[in-house]
Amino acid sequence: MRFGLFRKKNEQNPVLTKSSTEDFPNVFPALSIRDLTFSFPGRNRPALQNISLEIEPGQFTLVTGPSGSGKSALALAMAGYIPHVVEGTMSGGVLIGNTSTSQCPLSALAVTVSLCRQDPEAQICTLTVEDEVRFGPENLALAVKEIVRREKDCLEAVDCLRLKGRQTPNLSGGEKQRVAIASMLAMAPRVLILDEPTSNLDPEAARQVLTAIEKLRCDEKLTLIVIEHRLSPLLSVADRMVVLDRGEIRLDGKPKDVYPAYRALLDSRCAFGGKEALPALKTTDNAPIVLQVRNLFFRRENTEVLRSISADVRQGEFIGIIGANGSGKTTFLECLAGLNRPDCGDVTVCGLNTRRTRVSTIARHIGFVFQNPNHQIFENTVADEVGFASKNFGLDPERTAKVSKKVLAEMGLEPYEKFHPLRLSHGEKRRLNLCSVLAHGPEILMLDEPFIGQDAYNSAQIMAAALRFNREGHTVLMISHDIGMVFDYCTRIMLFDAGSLLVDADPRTARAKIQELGKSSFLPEDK
Amino acid sequence: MIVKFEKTDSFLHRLNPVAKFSVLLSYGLIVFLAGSLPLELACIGCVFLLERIAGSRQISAFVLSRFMVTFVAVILVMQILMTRSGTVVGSIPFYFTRLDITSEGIDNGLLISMRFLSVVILGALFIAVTNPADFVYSLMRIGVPYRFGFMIILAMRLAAVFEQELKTLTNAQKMRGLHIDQSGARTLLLCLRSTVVPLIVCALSRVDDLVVSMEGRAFGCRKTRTFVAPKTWTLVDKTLLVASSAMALLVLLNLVLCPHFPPHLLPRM
Repeated sequence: MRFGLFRKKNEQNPVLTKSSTEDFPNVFPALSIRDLTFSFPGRNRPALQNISLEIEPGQFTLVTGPSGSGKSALALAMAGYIPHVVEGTMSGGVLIGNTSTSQCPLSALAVTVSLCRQDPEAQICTLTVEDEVRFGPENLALAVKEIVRREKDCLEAVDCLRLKGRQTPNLSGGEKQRVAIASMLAMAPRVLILDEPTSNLDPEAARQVLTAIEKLRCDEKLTLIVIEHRLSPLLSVADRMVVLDRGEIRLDGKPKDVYPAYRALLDSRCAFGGKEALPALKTTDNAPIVLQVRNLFFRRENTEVLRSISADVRQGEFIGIIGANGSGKTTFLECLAGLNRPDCGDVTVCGLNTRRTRVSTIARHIGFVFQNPNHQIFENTVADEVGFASKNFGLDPERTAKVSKKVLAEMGLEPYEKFHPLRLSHGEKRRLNLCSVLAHGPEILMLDEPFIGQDAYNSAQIMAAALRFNREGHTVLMISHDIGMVFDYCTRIMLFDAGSLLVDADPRTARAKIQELGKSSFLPEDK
Repeated sequence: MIVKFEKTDSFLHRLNPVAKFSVLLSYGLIVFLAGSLPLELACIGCVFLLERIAGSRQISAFVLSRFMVTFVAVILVMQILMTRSGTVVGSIPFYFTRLDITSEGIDNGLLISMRFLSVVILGALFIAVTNPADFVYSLMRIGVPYRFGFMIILAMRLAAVFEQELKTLTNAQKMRGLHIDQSGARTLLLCLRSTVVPLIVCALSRVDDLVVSMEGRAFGCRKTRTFVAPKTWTLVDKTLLVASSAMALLVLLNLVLCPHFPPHLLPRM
């Protein structure tokens, strides 16, 4: 069904003047990039170099590439934020119709190109779902009737009509992402750019967002540009795949032709040195128990977040924790680390009961990597950052310096020792986080979504480090939405559902149980 | 105890937020300028009556909270001890001297503490019965520039996000061996240093994303914007607005024209 979401053929764009409307004729291409080069201030290497690309109306283009290859910069340039909002040196240009984005005000571009960014939390600016979707049309001072129509149509387009009346802070990750897309659609753009729309989402929510994208493509014939690392669900629906590498277009063509070449490119840079990673350690039932959870209940703001969880974790286990957004995975790890005190039941870490022990004492045994790399960077140089915990624990400075050097070398961060941590790329920051929790020699490593926003190369580097730590006889607990990675490397799988531990078994048994429960979105794709 | 908006459908909830705000302002003005203890007590009684109408129990719990009891008691005691004028009604031995308690001290203490209490609890009732977003949208609809209005909306939106981020930061510090649970100036300084920088980094990255999100939806491209959310002015709203404004005006005029009327109504002891 086509539900009249966008302007009728001759309908006047409410923001553009008559002359500028004529500048955006519905002719090929929808978007044209001509010899675009862009450098961020203070960077030696351009983020984008001599990019030339023509995107036809109604085309679904998938843009991918390693972290730092310039994908997000390209999105900002296509939507006009470069040069209007983002500072830097730019040459060449982006044309929409026959008008250059640099000569057109951003408010006029807003009704032609919309960009939906990676983190929906950061782009929702009002307090209710309706206000969020109406925000753009209200800014355009459209008639109330038209705004209400767009609100209904856009929410319907992303299957979110049922969310009307809900407060935005109370939505789940997947719901927020779809509301963010609906709010961009309400601007009635001709080109919609989605920058990693599923990176923060669990497999089920990601599937819902991808279904919404597919629906838009079929119903609205919208020109879609999706930037993604998770390629497999999009390969069959995209018309074209563009691979960026170091700011340049490396590959461009039909996904079936480009994808194998891209895989080969990634494999050539694989963190495991072109070989298969060594498997995780095989533990025995005689290995000592390092974590013991007995009948754990935890409530937050009158809501039961965890209920009746019991589990023993033995030294050397590599546990993958999976489940939907909001199912209690992070809260569970926080309880294990003593950051949340149980409302009922007990948690024991290396013989220390979390009820009676200070977090900073428990922390001596645990290395905890949180979701956002910026939340755990406290020092002014990479070297100091790695030594931060050891200094707080009062460890020998000489030993600390030696260990810091070793872990930095293992993660390929040695050249940046004197750099400010915030100057590192997202992937490098993530590896730095890992270095900084390993330097004090913990027995247990806890990773909360370590692969978010990471390309295959960085993900493999992180996984290799976790496996190395595990093979030294240590325990790893890892929360991840990357189901393939979890099933490939973990020796035990825990599936959380609405605060309960639904499955806790080895991968083979877990696979069967998950299948039986009908939660197939938490199963890896068949290779 | 934090007073929060409760979503129900009472008479007070249904009133236009601007009309309620006008009553709050007028009430504050009257309470401050009247200088009468019976009037203050009557106002406090009115607020409790309104609390019942709103079907809330937050105000009673707020008044009985340790913070409020302590604050009101401190104001009362400080006024009693610091006011020297008036008839001495008693004295307290204090080291080598005595602190006199005067009738004026008691009068002032009671008046000021009740004045504080009555203004604070009506403010609390306003918060309990007014959706903050509705209030800001109503202000924008009556002419407050929408750029300012959205500053408040954004602040409300981001407050919860930053609270969550601060919690994560603190957790990350604890997990890296920072003894946040220990006291001491050094620990406090270290914690502050380790909190401020990452929080600023996170805030700035959020600002970047918000700019993209808002500019990308034509925010600020026009002088005016449409507001879809219906917030009508009923007869009751209009009457409240006019009556409260008239009352406030009367009190102000009275203050300018007859500064000594009404006389101090507090009965002398």
